[in-house]
Amino acid sequence: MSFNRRLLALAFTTLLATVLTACATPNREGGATLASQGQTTADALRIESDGAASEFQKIQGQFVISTIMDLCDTRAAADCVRLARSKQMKATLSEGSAQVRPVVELLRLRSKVFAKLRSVYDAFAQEAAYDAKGELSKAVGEFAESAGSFAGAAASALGADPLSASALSAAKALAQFIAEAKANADQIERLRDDNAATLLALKALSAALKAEQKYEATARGMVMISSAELDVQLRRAGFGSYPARLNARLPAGDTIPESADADIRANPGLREGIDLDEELDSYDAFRIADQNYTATLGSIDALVSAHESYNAENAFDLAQFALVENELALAIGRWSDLKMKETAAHIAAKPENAEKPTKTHK
Amino acid sequence: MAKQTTSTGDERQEELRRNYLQAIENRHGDLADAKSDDEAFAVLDNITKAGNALMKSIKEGLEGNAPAIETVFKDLKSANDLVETGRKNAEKLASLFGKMKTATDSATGLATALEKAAKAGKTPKAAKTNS
Repeated sequence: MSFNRRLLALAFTTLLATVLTACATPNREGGATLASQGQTTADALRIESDGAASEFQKIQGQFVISTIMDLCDTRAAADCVRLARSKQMKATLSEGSAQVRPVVELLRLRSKVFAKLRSVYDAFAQEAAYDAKGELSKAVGEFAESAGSFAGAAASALGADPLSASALSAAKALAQFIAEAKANADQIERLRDDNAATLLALKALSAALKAEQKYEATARGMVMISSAELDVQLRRAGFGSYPARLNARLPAGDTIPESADADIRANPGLREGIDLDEELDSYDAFRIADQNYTATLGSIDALVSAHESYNAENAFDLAQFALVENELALAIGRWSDLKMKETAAHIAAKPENAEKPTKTHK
Repeated sequence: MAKQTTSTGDERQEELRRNYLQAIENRHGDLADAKSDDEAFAVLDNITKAGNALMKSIKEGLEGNAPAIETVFKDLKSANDLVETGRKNAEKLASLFGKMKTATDSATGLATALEKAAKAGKTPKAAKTNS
């Protein structure tokens, strides 16, 4: 078979491989979108968790102030001052401080997990942004060019014909095709593996946080109560209007207007989730905290769904690619053997290499 | 009296929450009703005990779940390392071809130099033989 016909056969194999691996392009855009969603969610979770820990740190101080204000509201000023300054009061109020610190540290540990989650998505985003195919193709192309030049120089130094320009071009194109296809397949595999690893970790995180929901929600409920109690005391003492922070802790859509008492009693919708006595001393903080925390965990479940969708949408049959890759490797091997035989034949055919007749002596 | 409703948690946790909430809600009225310092401190002790019990349960609950959280932390670190290592290996491969190009460029230079040296060496001998 002539060299040109062999080159045509090689081109056909290349075309066939291109068609078969047409879908083998890494979904970098999908990966980038997923990474961005993950980064936003992780940041929001960390900020919320940090906030809960910081607020919990304040509850003892708030309790002290609201207690003393309550005491003074029910006693004459002199008695209030005496009681507030007593050793018994100090001992009673300081007992709680020792309990607060370990809870704050445990809550902050959860924030660190969310910070680590953010770093996973940062790495995922970097992978999605990496032009694996482009970089490897460029590197291989430049090497192929260099290798071709070396082959020519070596052949010339040996006295053999250098490789033809068309052969060099075909070799370079083939090498780049292999590199691009391999880079794509490798990146698909990396994105798939990254996705799977992150998905597993997220599912474990979701399960772990759900297992401790009642404790986290209790802590957040205590924060709401402590803060609301202080607000009520301040209002009683005439320091301000209805506590705006109470509104901030209600489920979405519920608000407490300024003229709270009458409105709340008259409006069943506002009473749902909030049940205040005449003095507005407290409300259903723990239930609201549970609801809010459930919503927090919902954002993790949304990420899990996004990862599962990415997995389903980007399935790639590596076994099929391996078959094509094998065929191409065989084709390259056959081509290399043929070129080596041709080069050897060229060298042997050179006049200077032909066997010289022996001289006869007279 | 306020109504307490909670959506999650075991019975113990709910009981602790209820105790604390009731102690806080009743504080104002109970302090107003306290006829002596001792009675006033009893009201405050009641709230403090309820609060401390609740904080203790939070601490124990979170500590108990700490191994699960630590495992998640390690899983996330592994996922992070996997992502970064994979891409760095890809970058190394591209870099390797760059190094190979440098090597072949040098080899080309050497082959060319050898060829020139060989030609320079042959010419005088060929001239002598043909004269």
